[in-house]
Amino acid sequence: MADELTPKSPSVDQTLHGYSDGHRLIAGTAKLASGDARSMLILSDASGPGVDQAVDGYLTGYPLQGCGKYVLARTWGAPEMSRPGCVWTHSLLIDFADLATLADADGLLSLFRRPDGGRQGYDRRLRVPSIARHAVANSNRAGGLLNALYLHPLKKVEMQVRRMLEDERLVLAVWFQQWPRLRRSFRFCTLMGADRSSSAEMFDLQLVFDRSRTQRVSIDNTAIVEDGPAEIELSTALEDLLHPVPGGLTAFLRRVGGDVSDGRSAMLPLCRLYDALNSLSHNNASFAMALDAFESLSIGQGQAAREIVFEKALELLDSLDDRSFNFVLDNIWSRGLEVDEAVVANIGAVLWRRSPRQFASALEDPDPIGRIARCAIPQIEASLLVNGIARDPEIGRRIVLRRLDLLFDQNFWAIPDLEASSILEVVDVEPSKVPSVLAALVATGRTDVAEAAISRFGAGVVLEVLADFSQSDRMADVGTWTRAVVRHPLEVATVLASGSTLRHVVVELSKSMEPDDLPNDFGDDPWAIASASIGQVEPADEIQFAAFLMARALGYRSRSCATLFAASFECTHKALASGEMPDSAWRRIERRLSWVFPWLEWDRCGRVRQAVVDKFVDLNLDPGTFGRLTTDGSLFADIIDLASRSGRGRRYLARVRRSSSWNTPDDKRGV
Amino acid sequence: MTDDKVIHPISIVGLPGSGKTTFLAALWHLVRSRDIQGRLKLESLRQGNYEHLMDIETRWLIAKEQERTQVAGMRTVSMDLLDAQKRPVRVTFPDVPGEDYQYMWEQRAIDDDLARTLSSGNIMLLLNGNKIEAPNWVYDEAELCRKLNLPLPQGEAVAWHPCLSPTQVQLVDLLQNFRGRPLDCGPRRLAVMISVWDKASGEGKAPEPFLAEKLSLLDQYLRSGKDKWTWRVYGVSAQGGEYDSAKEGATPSPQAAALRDKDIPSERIRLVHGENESHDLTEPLEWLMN
Repeated sequence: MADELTPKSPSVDQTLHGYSDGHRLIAGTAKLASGDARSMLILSDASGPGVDQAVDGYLTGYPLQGCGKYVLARTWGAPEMSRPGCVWTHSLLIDFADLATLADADGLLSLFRRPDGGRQGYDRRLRVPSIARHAVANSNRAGGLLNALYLHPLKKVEMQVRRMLEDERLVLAVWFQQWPRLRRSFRFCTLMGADRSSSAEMFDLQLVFDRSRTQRVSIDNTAIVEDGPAEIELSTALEDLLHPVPGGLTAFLRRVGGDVSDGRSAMLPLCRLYDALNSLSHNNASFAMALDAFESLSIGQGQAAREIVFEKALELLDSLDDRSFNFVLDNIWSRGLEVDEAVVANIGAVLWRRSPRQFASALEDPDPIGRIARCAIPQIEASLLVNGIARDPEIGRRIVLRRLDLLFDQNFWAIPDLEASSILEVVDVEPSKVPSVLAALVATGRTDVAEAAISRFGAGVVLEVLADFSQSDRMADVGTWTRAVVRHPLEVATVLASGSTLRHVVVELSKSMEPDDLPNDFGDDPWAIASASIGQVEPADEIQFAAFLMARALGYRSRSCATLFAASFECTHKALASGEMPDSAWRRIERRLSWVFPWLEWDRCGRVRQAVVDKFVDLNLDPGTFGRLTTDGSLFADIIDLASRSGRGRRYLARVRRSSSWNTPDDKRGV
Repeated sequence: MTDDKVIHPISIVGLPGSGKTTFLAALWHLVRSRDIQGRLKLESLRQGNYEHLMDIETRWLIAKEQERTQVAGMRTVSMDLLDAQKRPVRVTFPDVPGEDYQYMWEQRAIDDDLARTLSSGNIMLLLNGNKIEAPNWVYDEAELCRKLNLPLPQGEAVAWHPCLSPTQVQLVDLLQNFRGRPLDCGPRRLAVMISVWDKASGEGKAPEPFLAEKLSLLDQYLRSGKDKWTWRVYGVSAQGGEYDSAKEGATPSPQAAALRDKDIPSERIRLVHGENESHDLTEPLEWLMN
């Protein structure tokens, strides 16, 4: 009897049953509860009356649920005993856990020993040696057995004995091919005289010598093994029996069978699953077959199989059909599968590509798909998001709330039918980032959101952004935006009054406004402050702006007329003198000039000079400013001359002379 | 048509090797063949493995030793019989392996199915008159060793096991179990059948005195009436003599040949009650059914 001390090989309990004033337990190492002891007493007895006892005995395998052990027993006839029908049975009791670790039964078989009169040697545990596995030879017989066992999973299977040793090897090979959970519930007997099943426990496989002779022991609900090739669905199982390879079907069954409790019924679905997974390429149809095979297991079965199928699905994520993809979604968290965050994000990205609407709808859901969406959205490329929103603009608002960076993307704002105004209402943008958002908006050429943008962010920052555009080549509709801005005169006034607005912005504003649009109820005129703005503008725009300022100064609104005149008189006069003043600009000024005879209308310069002098004198505007209206001596002499034509004017000029800003002899020339 | 037969469950109780199967084989032949006048005759087999009964009857007819009954669960044989007045009665015999009764003694446990079966009906207790394990007296052992000049073992502890108990101790315990839960159904009739009577009768005693001498504890238990058994003692030889061994190559028995030569097989059967002897195994059945 082999008893190697192999560190990793399991040890087993043993018992010996035989006749001693009744069939009883003779010796053994296991302490069993009465139920298990009773089962062993019955199943260690002869397998039926009239059974011709094989020389090497026969095997019986069955579980003892009470103690969690599997019994593999060999029974020999005991003709030396006084009563006929006596037997010896040597049983090995293998822990379920150890049974799962054994690769084959050959080590167990080597431990069996028929007693030779004494009961020594049955009182200690045995170590299972590692022995080379015997192969299965007869493919037709094996195929027939597989067919009977797994095509009729609820039936008892009966097979006629041919050659005891060969049959025994076949039965053991089939048994060890099974996944551990099935293996430890599988009941078999390699020589039967009467059905060994009880009402509670069915024997899966029993071998009988001659069915024709033993019709009287025929078993109801039985599938008879008939030699032949395995059914196509079991061909892999047959090949695995005949030519086992590492990592083959047996290893697969071992991996996935841990929580499969369907018994033999699960073999076909698991074989189909194995075949389908092995044939997977990037072929949608094959994965669908794998999913079919998996779903043919009973509900709640096969967590390990589920994980394998899930892993495969992740590899083929982009090519899955809807059903297969839904399998991924259903399983990612709901079945307890732990998944790397990067994988979740990838799944979410695929979900986005497949159905942006579903993705967006899920964002607020507490369910697993919602978690997927929330995990994935930060990592999906902006361009992909934009593409998806373009397919379904209604979802843009939900998406942008979680991806504020889209606000800076002009492609996002360019999406037709995007509810841009409502988006601007709800997004929370850092003040420093607002210009970027507005720039993206304006760059798209959208003007429908101008009012919404101004009311959300204020005219000032909008003006800043518009300034940037007017200096560039971008084809933005700045004019519409500006017109939108000027519909908020108070805000414009505030901006201008800050004194920090760049000159070209000021000039653009003046183009869109009327000279008297902005109020000036107190303090300095915003236009007067803005007239000192810095920056370069085109000469034509300077002329337009000067005309605008002149018109405002000649109007009723401003409290800073002197400053406005100072900023605009020389430029205006010069432009009028040279004929550079556009008619539109002149009309602005002319509306505010006094009436003259038609034959005097041509003298625009004279009319302007007269109007300016009248304003200064009549309103007693700052004399110092009057003295600085122009650096042109000739022009200055003209306006001095005009002012001196009335007593009032002369008295005004005296004040001009006395003003501190006009103290040099040159300044006093002509006064 | 309603089945109005009166059902009489009778449990054949006995330790392994007490002759239960042989008794059943002989009884089956007796009621079926009607080769002698018996008190009960077979009308039909109601329940039971017909092939099994034919098998054991065949072995009995050819005077071959019966194979032991496997410990493979209980089978029930149920026969519809006609009494002398041709009234139908049904007798059921749970065919229980002797190991089950041994299990009751050694493990103090009983299967639910067997408990249900044994909790009704009267009892036929079979005991092998040729294999009575009598208690050994320490004094006798010591005296024997002294006469044989053998050293008397000193201080050697012997592990005790229930199977080492004397036969009658096991039988008394078995009968006491019938009067306790879960088997108790009130006072019952008990037919004590001392089997292998062809060997035991060599002592020249009738069955009751034989019981009193060889199984005094059992005898006293029954006579005390503590458990209110209504009892009788029979001597029975269902084989009628020694049969051929079932072992291959065994020498045929001359007695077996003589038994096979009998024209009327049922005449092998010997049933002794008091001073009366007959071949009719149904006599104790009829008494138990009363």
